[in-house]
Amino acid sequence: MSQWIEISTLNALADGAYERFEFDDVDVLVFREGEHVYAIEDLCTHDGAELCGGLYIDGEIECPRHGARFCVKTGQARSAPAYGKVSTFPIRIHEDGVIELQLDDA
Amino acid sequence: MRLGIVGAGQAACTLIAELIRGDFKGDILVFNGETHAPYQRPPLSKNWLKTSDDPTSLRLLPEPLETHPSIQWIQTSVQSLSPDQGLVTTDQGTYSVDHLVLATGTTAIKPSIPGLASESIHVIRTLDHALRLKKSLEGVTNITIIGAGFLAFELASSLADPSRTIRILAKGIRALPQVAVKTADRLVDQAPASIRVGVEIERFDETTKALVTNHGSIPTDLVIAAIGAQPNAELATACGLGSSDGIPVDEFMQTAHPKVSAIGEVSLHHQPHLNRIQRIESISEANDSASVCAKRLLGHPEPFQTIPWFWSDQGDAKLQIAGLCDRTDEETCLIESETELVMIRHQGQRVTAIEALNSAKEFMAARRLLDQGDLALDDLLQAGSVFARLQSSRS
Repeated sequence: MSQWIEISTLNALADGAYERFEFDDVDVLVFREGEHVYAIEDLCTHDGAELCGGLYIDGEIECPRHGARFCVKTGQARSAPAYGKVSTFPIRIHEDGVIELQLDDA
Repeated sequence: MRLGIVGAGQAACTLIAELIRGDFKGDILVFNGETHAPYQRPPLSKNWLKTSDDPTSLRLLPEPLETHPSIQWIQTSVQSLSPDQGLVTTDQGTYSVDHLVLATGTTAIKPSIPGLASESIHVIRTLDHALRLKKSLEGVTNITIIGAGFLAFELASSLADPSRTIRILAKGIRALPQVAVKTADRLVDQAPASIRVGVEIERFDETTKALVTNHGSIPTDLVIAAIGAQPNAELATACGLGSSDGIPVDEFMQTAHPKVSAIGEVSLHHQPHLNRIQRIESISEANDSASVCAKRLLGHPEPFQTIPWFWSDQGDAKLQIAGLCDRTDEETCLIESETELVMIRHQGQRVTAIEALNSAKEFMAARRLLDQGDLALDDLLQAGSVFARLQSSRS
């Protein structure tokens, strides 16, 4: 099991928005929905380019190029032209609001 | 239920994905007339043509879907259909199905050029076309692209190379990209090719290796035609369900026969956004019509109601269009910078389309707003951006 990595705090993430975090081998989008935080790989399974910049509405991020939508909680593709799931990453939130991410359990 | 799908392109694959996701109770037989597993077509004229030799990078369906136990892939062309009996005849035998979905797509049109054999004229519609074009490029210095729609501009960008001269020949100004004037001007300015309008091709001169035209002789080693496509409606027409314009269907993608549906570019139906019957060639049409058909087959029918949208990558220029407008629609520029452009097309206050160049966020917001219903010009101008208008509509 890989280490937990501290990435942000609940207060620093705007509700209903997302931020991008870059790591050595992977880029991750972290979404806040109320008191919940979700993380997915910044990679559209349709064309292999980034999802960052897409609209985040009703728990889904929409690829800014071709409109594929992914559930940020499960990573499931919700609409064509993507059919494959995007990787998700475990998140934990400490009592003081610190958010941690685990990378290699996607 | 035993469902037969004729065709294995974008519409067929979206139908398959939506049925599997919706826990479809039955078997799916897919009749694929190509020798390749389902693949993405849009990249064939874009980056893939320039950068890749690997067809597997175009794979359309992820492995869990392609190998799903309820799907049987039948690699053969369909010869004929008998809807009343639910029979599909192929050269491998006859198959019985309970319902049939025709996702037969379109075929690229080739012009007739005296002096040039039809097989010497390249088109881009299938992976085999693209592979053949790639092979033919070696040693070629003069490329002539006939037609001047998005496909011609994409090809010009993808084939651009210091060792080549690319010429785009258009019959008339109507053939130039059907986007607002400023957007089209930019595309034309940025195209790595010379563009001639009003060209009539008389013949190909084998001796001089040139196309003889009313604009003089045009040196040509390789010709690519990008002048449109025609619907593959022959199977449907043979059983009284098709026409030369496509396969007529209702708003649920049902043909005149209760056992036959049609989806994708071959389907001809009422487009609510345009308020007219029109066949549309785009990935959005393939996906949206397939989704409507899947919902009906899953027992939750919802009529087709989404707006058409399009994209085109031409080098660094990413063009996206939401909606479809008439050439006479007015245009108002919402955002313009050196790199970005957002143009509103409208009839009075009613916004009919939004054309975006390198402005993906604005475009995606435009799609949402147009899908939600009428969009007024003044609302957009007041908000200053489509994205800001979307946010205000949700707050």
